[in-house]
Parts: sequence; structure tokens; C-alpha cells
Amino acid sequence: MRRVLVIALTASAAIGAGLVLAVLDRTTEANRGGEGRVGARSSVSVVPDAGPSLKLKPGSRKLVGELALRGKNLRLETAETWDGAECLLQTEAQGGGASQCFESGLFGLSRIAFSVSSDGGPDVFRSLYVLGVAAPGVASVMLTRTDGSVVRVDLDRTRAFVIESSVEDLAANVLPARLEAFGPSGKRVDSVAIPALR
Amino acid sequence: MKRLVVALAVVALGGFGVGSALAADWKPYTGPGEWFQPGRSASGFYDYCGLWVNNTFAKSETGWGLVTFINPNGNWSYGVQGRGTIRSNLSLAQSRGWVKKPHCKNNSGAWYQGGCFGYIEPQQCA
Repeated sequence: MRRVLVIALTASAAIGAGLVLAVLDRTTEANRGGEGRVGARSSVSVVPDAGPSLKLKPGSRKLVGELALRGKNLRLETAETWDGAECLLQTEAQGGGASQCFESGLFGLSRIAFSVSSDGGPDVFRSLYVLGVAAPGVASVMLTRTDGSVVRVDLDRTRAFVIESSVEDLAANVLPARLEAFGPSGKRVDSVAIPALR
Repeated sequence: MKRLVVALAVVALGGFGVGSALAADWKPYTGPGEWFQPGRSASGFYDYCGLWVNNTFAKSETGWGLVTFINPNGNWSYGVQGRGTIRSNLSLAQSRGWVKKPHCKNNSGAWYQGGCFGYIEPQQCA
């Protein structure tokens, strides 16, 4: 019995020491201003497909739609985290992706949950798209761009949307500026300003 | 007695490894809940000896912000902007073959609290 106790105590101390050293390592890097090199280290990979920092409630993932963009296909899903936040997940067919989570729910803040994804920049973006999903009752969305031009998208029953910038617009630095949502009668039900993307 | 010593050594080494592996790879590059004034940005370190596969900005859900990865020439890749907590995830294949650091920024006109961190996959250094 005493032997078991000794082994258990030693194991706990060793795990604790490992954690403390790891945290100290992290703190040291933060104190260096975040610049430095990561030493070689072997560790178990714990990267799930929704990204390592996302702990989703089992069974909460729901497919919203699959969207085709220039050069890639995206799978758009909603999901709930273990602590109750609602998320919009975008996963690329070849792996990787992005997510956005809201503690107050997808539509607690606005009738449209969306993000702006980009590649390239900050001077000129190579690709850029506005991707999201609208709340029930929203029939269309309209994106106004920095040159005053607009793109209007009528939503289908999934209420998912993606608006991709053309190569010409990106070369001319024409970027998204505002996204608005409209009900079935055409009445505007929400308007969200998009800040400068740099 | 000899068996006990061996068992203790195995358990201690294993336990140390478990402890390190569980906590070693999350890399915050700001403190948690720091104030971000309009325009404030922060960056992590370059992954010369690892692979960044995640970049997260956990923040007030009303505040706009961005995450992206920056290479040593200052070019951005895999950027995401929005409200709420935003994450950019790279597959190992997407992360291999180029050097990058995670970057986050409050690109809105409002103050808010948040924290930026990422996940790095350890690799053997050359």
C-alpha cells in the first residue's frame, strides 16, 4: 500500500514539474517579447480538424453548405463549444480553415454572422472573401465596397453566403466596407460596418 | 527494492513527459485579457523550429480584430477578420515549407480586452 502511495505521489510531482517547466518556458518567451526560437521537442499531436483551440460539444456540428471559391472549396458548418458559445466553422477540402465563435450565440450580436478571410497583404491582397450565415428571416445581404459599388446576394434556405473579391478589385484596393441584411419585403434589418482590413 | 526504483523512475520520466507534452505547445503572445486600443497589434515568434498550425484572438465579441501569419518579408497569409473569437487554422501541409509568425490586431476604432495565442507543432530542428 505504501509502495503504491509513493509511486502515485512521485507521478503527481513529475507531472506537476513538467507542467510548471512548460509554463515557465512559455512565460520566458512572452517576456522576450515573443521573438525567439522553439527548441526541438517531441510531443503528441493533438490537432483535431476544427483547430486545436476549439472544444466542440459532441454532435453539435451542423453542415450549412459547401461553397466553391477561386482555387478552393469550403465547407461551412455551425457548432457549439463545450462552454456554450456558437461558432461558424469554415474548413478547406485540403485541410486548415478558420472559425469564429460568439458567447451570445451566432445571432446574439447581429442578424448576420460573418468573417472576412484573406491571403496576401497588407499592401495588396491576393484573395479575399466575406463568408457568413444570416439569421432566419433574412432574405438577402448586400456588401458595399470602398469604391461605393455593391454586391447583392439573395439567400437560399441555408442562408449561407460568400462574396469573393475579383483579382481586379483587389489590385485596385477595392475592399469590403459594409454588410447589410434585408428581410423578405426588402426592409433593411441590420447593417454592419467593416473596418479597414489592415 | 530494485523493482520499486525502476518503477519510480519509469513513472517519474513518463509523468514528466506527460506534463510537458500537455502544456508545452500553446504559445500565448499577449497576456490574457489585455487591453487592445485601436490599432494595437502583437506578434509571436517565427517558427524556425516548429510549425504554427493555429492563430487565435480571443476577445470581446463586439470588437473587430484580425489574425494572420506573417513571413519574414512582411507578407500576410491565411488572414481572418471578424467579431467574436477568431481562429485561423493551418494543416501541417499548409504550414510546412515557409517561415511565419502569428499576428493579431485590433483593426477597429474601439478599445476592448482580449488575448492572442497560437498552437505550434514541434519539429526536429536541422
